[in-house]
Amino acid sequence: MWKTGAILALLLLPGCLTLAEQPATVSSCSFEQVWETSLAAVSDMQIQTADKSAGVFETNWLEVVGARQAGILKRDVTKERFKYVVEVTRDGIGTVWSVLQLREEWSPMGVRMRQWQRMQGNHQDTAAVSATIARRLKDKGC
Amino acid sequence: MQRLAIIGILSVCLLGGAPFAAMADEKTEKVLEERIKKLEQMVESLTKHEAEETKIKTAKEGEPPLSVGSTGSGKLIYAKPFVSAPKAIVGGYMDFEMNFLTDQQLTRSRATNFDQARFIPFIYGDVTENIKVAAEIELEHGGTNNPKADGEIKIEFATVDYLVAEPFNFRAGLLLMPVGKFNLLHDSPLNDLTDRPLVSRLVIPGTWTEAGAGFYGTLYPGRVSKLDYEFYAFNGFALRAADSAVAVGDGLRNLRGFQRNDNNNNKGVVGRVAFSPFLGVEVAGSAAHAAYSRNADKYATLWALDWTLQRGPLEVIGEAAWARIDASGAGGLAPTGMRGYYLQGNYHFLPDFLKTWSPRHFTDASTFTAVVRWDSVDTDTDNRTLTATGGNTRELQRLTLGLNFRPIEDTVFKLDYQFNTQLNTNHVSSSVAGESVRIDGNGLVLSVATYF
Repeated sequence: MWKTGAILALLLLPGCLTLAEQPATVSSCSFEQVWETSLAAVSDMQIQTADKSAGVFETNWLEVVGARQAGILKRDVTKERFKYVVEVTRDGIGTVWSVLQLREEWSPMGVRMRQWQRMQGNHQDTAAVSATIARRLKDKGC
Repeated sequence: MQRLAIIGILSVCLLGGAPFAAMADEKTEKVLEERIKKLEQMVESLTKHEAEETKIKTAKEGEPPLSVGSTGSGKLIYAKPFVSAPKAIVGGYMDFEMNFLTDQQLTRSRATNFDQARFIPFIYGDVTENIKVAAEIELEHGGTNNPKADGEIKIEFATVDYLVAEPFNFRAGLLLMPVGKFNLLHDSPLNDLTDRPLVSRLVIPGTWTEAGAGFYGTLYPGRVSKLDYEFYAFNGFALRAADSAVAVGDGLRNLRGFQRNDNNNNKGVVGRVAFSPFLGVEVAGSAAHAAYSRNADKYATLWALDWTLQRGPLEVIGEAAWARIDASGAGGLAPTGMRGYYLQGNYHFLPDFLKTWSPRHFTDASTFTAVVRWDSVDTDTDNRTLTATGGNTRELQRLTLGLNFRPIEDTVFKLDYQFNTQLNTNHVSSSVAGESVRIDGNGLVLSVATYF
């Protein structure tokens, strides 16, 4: 009985977990202005999907050299890739947007070569994109 | 480029500096023409020289380093070239294990022992943008030509992938069977305890590799969710030539299939679907179903559930598996049901004072992990073999407490203490010759493992 209880407790642990933090930013600009500015802020990446009615767009993956060195020989052979998911919603007289970075890692080390593994997004990158949107909106005077 | 600019400026100075009056003079004109010719020759030779230098520099940047700069005795072993090029990566992992037990246990037939368990070179090749080759070659216990010929050499996996799109790709070769997560992530440096979970050895017969082909892919159904799948067809299960029935002591290990010739022309199917609602949580279900008898009238089916929960320094991982096997042995002595599970908690930590005390050994990449794991397995859930001599010998439980240190993520020193229990078995002893022996020794298991 105690075993079942312990297993249930451990399985229920994820109930304490929450979605990755996505700090939202509010602007007095119109939805249209924020939507266009957000798209422009990530214009160096390809857009994979954009649903304006839902206020969500997603970029394609962009592959970069991984930060982690592989193995005892510390080889620079790992790769990382990231994409942005930007959500823009109307909020009363203003508009709210949030930027989320999804990030994955690939290593040729052993069985990890079989697929990409999820990892924590880079908060600095996310903040930089969000700041770019905010700055451009400010330039527009709202 | 800088040289060209300097020459250009010098030319302008030379030309600009000539007295205007002399320009009319034919002799001066000739002199100037000669100077220009000389300058043109200089420019040409310098351009060639610069191009050569650029070529050499580019070639050097593309070359792999020939050593890792290690010096001094003991470290020279690492001062070897490794092969690393954009098209192919060669590497590997190795481990070394030792145990000090009160008696033997499932996988350790000696109470005290040293064992260089695995030396695993691997190769990854980018054949083209869409074609990838990956393989692990397993040399265990010194290989087959060790002095007592009790080692192994085999292919752990060897696959060729054709990447169509992220949600749908083709894979063929010697495949790691996607039943449970442990079989897919079995490398010693990845695991926090030395011994593999009992369920991942007896019920899921890891490391489990079969010849087959199929499809795999990844879908992103929500903004932060991820769904991975793998589905393959393979040769199916098969009894070893020497066996007439599934053996309780081997679990499903002696049902692993033929990698060359299918024994019954009846293909098996295997698949795993893993869903991660968001980073840090993954739950997966998997199954394999295949005939194992020569005339394909007896089947075995294996189901598994695995989970990974991560939050900060805490991880809870585990898997459970169940197997049903059509009765194979005469007299009802072969098992028809098996089950097992493990549940493991990991806590990663590194006291700050260690980084101050010895920054050379304790860096930001270092970590300790405290581990606790509970294992349970039963390879004869119906107790069909209970009355036989040495029957029902694999109803086992194990509690492992472990502490490991990773100076870097890919290298780990492990220290584990195991409490092994063997339940409900008949006619086993640790002393009577000819009878099965007990496998419930407790004690220390230590190891080191690293990717290289």
